[in-house]
Amino acid sequence: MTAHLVKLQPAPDLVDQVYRALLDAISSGSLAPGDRLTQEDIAERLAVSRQPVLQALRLLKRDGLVQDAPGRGLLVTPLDPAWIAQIYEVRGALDALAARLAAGPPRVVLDLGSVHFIDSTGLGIVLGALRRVRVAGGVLRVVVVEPQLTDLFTLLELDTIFELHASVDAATSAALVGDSASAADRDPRHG
Amino acid sequence: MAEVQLEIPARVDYLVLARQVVAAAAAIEPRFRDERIDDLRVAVSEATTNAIEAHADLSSDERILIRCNLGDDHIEVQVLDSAGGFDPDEVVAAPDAEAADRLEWERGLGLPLMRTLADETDIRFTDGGTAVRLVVYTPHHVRSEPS
Repeated sequence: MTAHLVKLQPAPDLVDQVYRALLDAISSGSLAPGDRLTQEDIAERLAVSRQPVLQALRLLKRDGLVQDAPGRGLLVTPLDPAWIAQIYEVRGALDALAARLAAGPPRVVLDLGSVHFIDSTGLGIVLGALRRVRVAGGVLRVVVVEPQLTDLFTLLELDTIFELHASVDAATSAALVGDSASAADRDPRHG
Repeated sequence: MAEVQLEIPARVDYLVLARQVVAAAAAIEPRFRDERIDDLRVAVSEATTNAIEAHADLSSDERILIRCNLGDDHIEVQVLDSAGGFDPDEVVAAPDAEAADRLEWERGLGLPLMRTLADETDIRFTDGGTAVRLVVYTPHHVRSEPS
C-alpha cells in the first residue's frame, strides 16, 4: 500500500522568527544594503531548515527589503534608512500590541490622526488589528482626522465596523466606556 | 493631449513615487479639486500595488509602466505590468460590512476602491500582463451620450 502523505508547511511562527531575525539584522545594519543572501547560509546561521528561510525571504521581498541579485540569489535592497525605520516602527507597535493582548482584554485607541494617506493595504492592517483585539475580548477605537481617510472608511462601509472618533480624548473615553457601540459614546462629528 | 510616463521597479518602496507623480500630473490641471486628486492617488495606489504583488509572486524582474494622459477635461492613467495578468471577474469580493466573517478579510478592498473612486475603470488582461486604465474627469465635464 502506498500511503499518501500531505507535505507539511513549516510552522508559521518559525517563518515569522526567521523574518524577524532578518529584519533585525537589516535594521541594525549587520546585514548591509547590497549584501548577498543565500538560503543555505541563512539556514545554517539560524540553525533552521531551508523551507522557512525561503518563505521568510519571499515576505521580505514582498516588503521590498530584499530583491533579486543579478544572476542568482537575493540581496539586501539599498534602501533609505528612514524607510526601514518606518517599517520597524510599525512592526514595533504591532509587537507592543501583541504583548498587551497577551496581558488581558485590551482597550486600544488607534490614532490615525497624523496619517494623511491610506489605501486598501493600510485599511487591511487596521481590520486585522480590530480582529485581533476582538478575539482577545477587547475594544478598539480609531481616531481619524483627515477627510481622505474618513471618506474611505465611509465609502467601504468600514465606518459601520469601526467606531471612528475625531480626537484621541473622545476615542479614549469611548474605549473606557467599553464595547457598547451606542450612538451616545460616539463623537458627533462622525455620527 | 500631454503625456507623462513613469517606469518603476516592481517594489513597494516605489509606490509613493508613483502616487506623487500621478497626483502632481493631475495638479497641472487647476480644475481638479483636491478630493478628486486624492481619489486618483488611491486608485493608482491600488492598481500599482496589485502590479507589484503580481511581480513578487513570479520573482519577475520586469518593470511597471505608469502612463498619464492629460486631456482637456480628464486625466487618464494606465498602469501596465507584464506579470501574467488575472481575471478581475474571478476575484472574490470581501463580504458586506454587516457579515459575521467580514473581519476575516483583510484583503479584497483594492478593486472595489478603484472602481468607486475613478469615473471609469477598465481592467484588461493583455498579452502577458494586466493593463488597468483609470479616468477621472474635471467637474464640468459633460459626458457624451452614446448615439
